[in-house]
Amino acid sequence: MIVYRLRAVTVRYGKTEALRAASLELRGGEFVGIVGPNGAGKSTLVSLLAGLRREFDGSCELDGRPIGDWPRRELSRAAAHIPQSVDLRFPFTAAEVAMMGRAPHASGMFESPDDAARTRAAMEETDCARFASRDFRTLSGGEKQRVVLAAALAQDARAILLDEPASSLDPKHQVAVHELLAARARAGRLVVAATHDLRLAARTCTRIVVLREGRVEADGPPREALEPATFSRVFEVDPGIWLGA
Amino acid sequence: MARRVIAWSVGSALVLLIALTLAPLVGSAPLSVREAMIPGTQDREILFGLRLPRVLIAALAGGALAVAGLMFQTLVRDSLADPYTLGVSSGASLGAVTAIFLGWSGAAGPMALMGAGAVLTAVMAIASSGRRMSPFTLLLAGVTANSMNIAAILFLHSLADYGRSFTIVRWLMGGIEHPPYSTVGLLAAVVLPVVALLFRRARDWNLLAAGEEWAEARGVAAGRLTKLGYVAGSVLTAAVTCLTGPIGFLGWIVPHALRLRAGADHRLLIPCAFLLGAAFLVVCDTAARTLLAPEEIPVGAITALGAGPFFLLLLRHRPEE
Repeated sequence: MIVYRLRAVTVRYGKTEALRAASLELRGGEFVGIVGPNGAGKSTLVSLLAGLRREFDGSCELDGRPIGDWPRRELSRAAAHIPQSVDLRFPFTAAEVAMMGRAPHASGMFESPDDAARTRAAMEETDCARFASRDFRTLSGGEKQRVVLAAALAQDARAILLDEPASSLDPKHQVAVHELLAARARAGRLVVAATHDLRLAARTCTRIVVLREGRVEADGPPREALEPATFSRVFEVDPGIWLGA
Repeated sequence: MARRVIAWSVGSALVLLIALTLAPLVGSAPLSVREAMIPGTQDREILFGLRLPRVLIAALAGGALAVAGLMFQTLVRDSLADPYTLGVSSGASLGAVTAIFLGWSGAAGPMALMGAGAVLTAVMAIASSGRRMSPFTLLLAGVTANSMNIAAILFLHSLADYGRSFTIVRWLMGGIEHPPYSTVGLLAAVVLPVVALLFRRARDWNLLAAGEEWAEARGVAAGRLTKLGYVAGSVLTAAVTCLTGPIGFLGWIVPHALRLRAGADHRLLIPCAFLLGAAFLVVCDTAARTLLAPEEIPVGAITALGAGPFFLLLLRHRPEE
């Protein structure tokens, strides 16, 4: 089972501390929602887990090995990361973008039939097979997110790390995406998603990590982590407005 | 995908083959192919001694410039970049112009190479001074180097006497001379391995084209790959420029038009840009040496004047998106 162990991790951008002494343990089977106000360090945490931040204080281990010691390719087979948005300047098709998820597994110049089949299955799952041959740049924000998510699923990694995977999706697809991620977690994978959708996170995540100014403010099952006192302290709004319904 | 790459590559190779076959037969002096097959005839000397090596140089130069342009466009994620955007070629020009200014016209080639090397080293040093090579710093450093080189060229030109001034302008227009076969071999020995090396990493360029973090999260060391792309593209550009002077337009138009028609996959783009860039310059150079024969038109004028309208047409008939 995949295990992340973070001890007192501090990440700095220049003089700004994006994460401050964060300690966490994340295990396969969990669906972890990372929540917090803008600038709380959510994206930084997710990209740290993906091995994209190589300079930090403290220690971050994946399966007992420091994240910085993992060869990039091997790490990309263990953990799939999708960024908040992908801004392409060149005419890749949706299928080509989704197929990029297979890159960590590829050896030759071209994808194998197995790669193609897995990519197609992932695109079916995120409901984007219909526009597989369209230019990615011409897709709507939500369609793009589904294609990028398909790339992450096709990567077939034990950890799926997502930075606001559903922010542009319509309600139907938001629910569908959260359910399919929850199913992945039930199957033993680790799913970590930074999100602003607290209601959906509270419903589908098994665990919520609340960040504020780079610190872990609360960590536990949704009901505990998002209890009203913490909520109003962290988000500075009345929780009734958000969670009451 | 593999089938599409092969189909496009075979098609592009055929286009190049036709250009390579026909171009040496065209020229100011009439030529009999049958005569040319007999050793010792004048026709043989014209065909194999003069025209063929020139056509081969044009092919190698065109292919190299198109691939260099493609790489630079990918690195800075801008399809308006060309082999001259990132400074190396203006460094070559400054080297050559300095040589001509000092009256060492014979040393223009080697001096161009030195100028290109100096710019390459400087830009690399500046752009990689951070933790990793950033395409944006690369672009800024390259464009600044360009401006400085062009200013220095203008300065030297303003001080040059009439004869040298003419030689300088002529060099800056770009042109292909009748080279010996050893030059053809030398250029091939630089260009072909570099293009092959770039092609081997084609899948990684696709990932990098989608973004640095995107590539890193899929197992590619983006910083190192960026460096490789910059050095390889610069070597291609420098090798061509010190032989022919700057030849504009082709280096961005060929990869750009190709992307418009064939998509963004580098497994297709690298071989096809090379083959079609080669065919393109062979055709342009043939026009340059025949249209006003025995006068020669600078080939750089042909590439832009001849192909500009063609590209505008291509823009009008874009495939459905």
